[in-house]
Amino acid sequence: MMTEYSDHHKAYRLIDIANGHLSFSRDVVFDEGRGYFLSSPSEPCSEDQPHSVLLLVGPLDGRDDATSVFDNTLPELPLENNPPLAAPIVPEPSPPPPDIGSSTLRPKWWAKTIGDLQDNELIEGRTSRHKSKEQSTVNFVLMANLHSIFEPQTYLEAKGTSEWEQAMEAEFQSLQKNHTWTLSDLPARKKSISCKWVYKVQYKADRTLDKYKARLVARGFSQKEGIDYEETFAPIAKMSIIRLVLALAAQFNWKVHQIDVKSAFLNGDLQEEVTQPPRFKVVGQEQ
Amino acid sequence: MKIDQYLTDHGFQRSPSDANLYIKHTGDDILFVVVYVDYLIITGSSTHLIHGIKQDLCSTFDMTDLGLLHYCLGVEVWQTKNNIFLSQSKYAKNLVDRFRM
Repeated sequence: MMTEYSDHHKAYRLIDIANGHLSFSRDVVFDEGRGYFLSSPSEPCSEDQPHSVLLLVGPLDGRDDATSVFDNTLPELPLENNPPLAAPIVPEPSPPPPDIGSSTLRPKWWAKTIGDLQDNELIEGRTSRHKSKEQSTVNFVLMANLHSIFEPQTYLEAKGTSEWEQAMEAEFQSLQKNHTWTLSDLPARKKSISCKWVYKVQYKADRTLDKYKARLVARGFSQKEGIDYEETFAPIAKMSIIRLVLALAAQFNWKVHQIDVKSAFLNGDLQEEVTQPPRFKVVGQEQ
Repeated sequence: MKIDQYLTDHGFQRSPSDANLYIKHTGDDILFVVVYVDYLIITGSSTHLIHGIKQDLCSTFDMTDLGLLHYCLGVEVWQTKNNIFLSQSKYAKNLVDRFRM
């Protein structure tokens, strides 16, 4: 799996998902026909080969030519014919051509198979064109946007992925625990505010995976001032006010103290009614 | 907002210059409370009054008394007997780290 462009080498940085080894290689062929997840049943692979997957991230550094990626002849292209240093194959920012994903409907972040590559060559950082073509096995690249792990844009894309399902469950439990809502019928002549899921992969400071985060947000932009709410209010004092208070304190030799509010939002109760359509089935609470 | 209600009920007036500055006059003494998202900055002419309002607030709301102000909005605050020293060294350091300088 490719993780990023190396800062120090003119090469791609790769990780073998099976064993976690990192390596650098310039000769990378992106196979975008299959997904990143190892266990997908629709992705047969030979059992005698280590199963390694490429995940491509990060923008290119501009010197590369982005034309060859989706050339339909590429899967048959003998690797020997590749130019020296195997002119890097460039991810295509636009959706892949329509012949992709014949059997299943794939999200647009799927790309297509473009070549063969042998797993252990990747790990050792050697170039695949030194090896016999017949021995090559297909590797796969998932094209993610700019950051390593794919972040779904919609519920449909996240559904079925256990990490995201768990993240949604955790968010849902937290919402339940805080009594964020009560289920009710929509009052007459009221409109509900829809909601959506926002998915984010969080990384630790050392850029390793921290957690999958799912947040349920209200699409509040449908509200109208005066009808749905009276005022918007964020308690942010001007910096000049804080400076003024500090200046006064300095001038008069006062002490300045600070109190931290533990749950800022809980202390602001909404006067307005907010209704949202259910997105989750709450077992035993349906009305 | 509950905090607004609470402060106005306790004799504070919202400053016309900034909705998050509350001022209370008690005799010759004066108290200032600045609300900034999730913390309050409190100062005034009477240490006694400051401690009073802090205790009241902490017993009414889910709040933590952080004692003397040390840090707000990226500014470090060093309070000595006759001076208040403001520094942004931490902010500057973070900036330097962020751009790997």
